[in-house]
Amino acid sequence: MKSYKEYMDRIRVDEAQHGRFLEAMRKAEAEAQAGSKAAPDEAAGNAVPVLPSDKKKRFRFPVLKIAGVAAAAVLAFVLILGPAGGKVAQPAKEADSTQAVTAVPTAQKDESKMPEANTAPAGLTQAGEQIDGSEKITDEKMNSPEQAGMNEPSASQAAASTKRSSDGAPQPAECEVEAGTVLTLNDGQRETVLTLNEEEAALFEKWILEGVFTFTDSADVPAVDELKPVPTSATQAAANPEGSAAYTVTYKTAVFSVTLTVDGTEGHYVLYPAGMDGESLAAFRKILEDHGLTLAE
Amino acid sequence: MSTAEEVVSKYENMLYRVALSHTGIREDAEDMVQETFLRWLSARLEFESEEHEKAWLLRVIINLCNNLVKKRGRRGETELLDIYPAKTEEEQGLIELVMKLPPNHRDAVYLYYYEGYSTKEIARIMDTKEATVRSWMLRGREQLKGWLEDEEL
Repeated sequence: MKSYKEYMDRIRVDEAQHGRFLEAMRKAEAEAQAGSKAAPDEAAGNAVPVLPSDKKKRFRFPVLKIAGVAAAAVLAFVLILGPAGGKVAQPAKEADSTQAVTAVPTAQKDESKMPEANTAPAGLTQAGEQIDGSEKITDEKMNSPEQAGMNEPSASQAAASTKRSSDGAPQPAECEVEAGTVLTLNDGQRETVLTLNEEEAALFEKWILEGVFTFTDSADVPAVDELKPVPTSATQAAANPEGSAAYTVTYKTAVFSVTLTVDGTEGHYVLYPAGMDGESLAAFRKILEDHGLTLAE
Repeated sequence: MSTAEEVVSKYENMLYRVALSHTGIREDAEDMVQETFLRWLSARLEFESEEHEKAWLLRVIINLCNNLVKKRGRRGETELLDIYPAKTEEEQGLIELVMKLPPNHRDAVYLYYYEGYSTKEIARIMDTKEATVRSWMLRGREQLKGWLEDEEL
């Protein structure tokens, strides 16, 4: 194996690339800080603690295309979106591209042609802030289904789903989720991003169509105060003493934010798990695990 | 918590080797490494140790590379040797054999023989059973018989 080791020793990142990695990190950090400066305004008037400047994150979201929705359904949907969208989400064309991670090419650069969201929706951002500033979750909490919120959906999520239903907003008749679509997972504690591969994208597409994930515009994001009492197990990388990359989330408290284009109009939406059978849950678990996350039992 | 610069300096070569052995294409490997660092930055996880952090990074880049390969289809199996030519015939032969291994087997070989991880640790990083890793190693070893016969699993 000496030859193998000697060969591998020679495989190194060159200086120029090292500089590019550092530059990419600096840009991402700067964007995160720039994002955090906007937070106090967004959060004004509520009790959400403001994150330290380095905690705020910005991501780009390839578009989740939804096409061919029945005419009546589209009309109803757009009517509902109109006023809400104005409150919480900016069209991608207004996005400040200088504040996007895509300023430096990444593995998803081939999706860079996709429109980008300029910011996370206000509600989601606020949730993220509350969450990152919350207390550290203990192992006991992580392992307890009750504490983890697995037995009952949070009141806020139930409210969100119900609200959507009462709005009469239809599920799309057709939707297309492309491989490479980036979802931001906010599991009640932190945010992280998942880039879906083809298989995963197909599952999300199926779930959206089946209503396993209901989606809502960001005006429906539950108030941060509603999220607070929900004891999520989420996210503690140090929880596993044996060095696993595990990072635990609970699907009941997970929300995914995505940018959707509906009938040519882009808006920012949040997907909530509304109800999963065993098979879906297993598939959902697998997706999270493939991305280095663990779904709490 | 490590700074971004520390993490880049400490792990870029390791991640680059893993990515390059998956993709066989320098640019793809560099993109995968960058994406891994950006995920590290955005996740802001609290790691209990450097080893934990290293394992997390390895797992993320392996997942990213698997996704990329699934999406694009594998190509450039021998390009690694074009980018980093072997110095001897022996080295050439060995690397050609290693690159013919399935990606999981190759990762296991790299993590075991180069990074010095145990099969148990590799199982955690690769999110599989230790027995599976042992099986990969055995199969890889069979394929590399002659080169690795003096090594113990």
